[in-house]
Amino acid sequence: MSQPLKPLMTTLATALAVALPAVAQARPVTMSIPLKNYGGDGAYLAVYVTDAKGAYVRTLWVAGGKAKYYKHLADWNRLSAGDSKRLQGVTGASVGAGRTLKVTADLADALIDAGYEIRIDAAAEDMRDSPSEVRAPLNAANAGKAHTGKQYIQSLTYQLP
Amino acid sequence: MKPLRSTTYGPLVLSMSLLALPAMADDDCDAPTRQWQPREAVMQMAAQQGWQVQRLKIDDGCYELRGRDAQGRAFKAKIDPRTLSVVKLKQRDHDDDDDRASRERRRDRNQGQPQRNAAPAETTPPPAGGSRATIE
Repeated sequence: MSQPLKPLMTTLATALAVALPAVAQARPVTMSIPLKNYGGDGAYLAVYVTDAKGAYVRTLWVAGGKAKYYKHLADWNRLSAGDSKRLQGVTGASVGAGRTLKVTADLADALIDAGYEIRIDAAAEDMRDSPSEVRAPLNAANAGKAHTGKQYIQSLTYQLP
Repeated sequence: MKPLRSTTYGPLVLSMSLLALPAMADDDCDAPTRQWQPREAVMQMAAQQGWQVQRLKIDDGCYELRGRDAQGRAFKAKIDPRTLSVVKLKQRDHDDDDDRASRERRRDRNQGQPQRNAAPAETTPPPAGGSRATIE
């Protein structure tokens, strides 16, 4: 190797050594959320994470595109009101009755087995709102288990890699 | 370069347009306000249908009527403000209507109240990286 390249390679190696652990700290969590056949319009869903004290941490997905209906996702709307970026890159269409929403989100390892929860709020037009319909502790022991919903959601099952 | 022939690309463009339709389908109205018919015209149309209107408001660019139809069933209708045609009609039985009415009262009460429980500060910075989702 020529002498002028050596400092460059050293710098690159150092940068990789610093960056790689940071990349490894996040892992893709996949969630499967089948809905019941509740006999109504498409449901609005907010999938988000709260900490052990119930404080909002992050929005993973919001199904339903009209902001005027977000107030019906009451818990998420209240808890996440201070997060101006809560909708950035995490919105999609509402989910029809009987359909299944599948979400993949990169979650920090620090959120696993540390008292955090995945919560889902649900609402459908002209039907009762269902805040925090599902609350699933985010830990390895619960991965792969179905957490049943109360009104619109059949279950939430998440997988950790 | 050869010119594009519509017979070659027409079916492709048509099929792509059809694929895009479900995502674009919506029950909003988009008539400019200068073309809107007045509320009186909506009430007249409702009367011709035999509807008893309990509430008339504007939602998603449409007139929205709630009331009872000629058979006494509770209904909600979205009306195109330009043509006064029915964009969407939902009819409900009495139990659903009672439930809806109580929900509306509760919603009206809550409107205008300050958000008392503001979002607490994040205890853990959110990791970089977005989310992906599909509906099956």
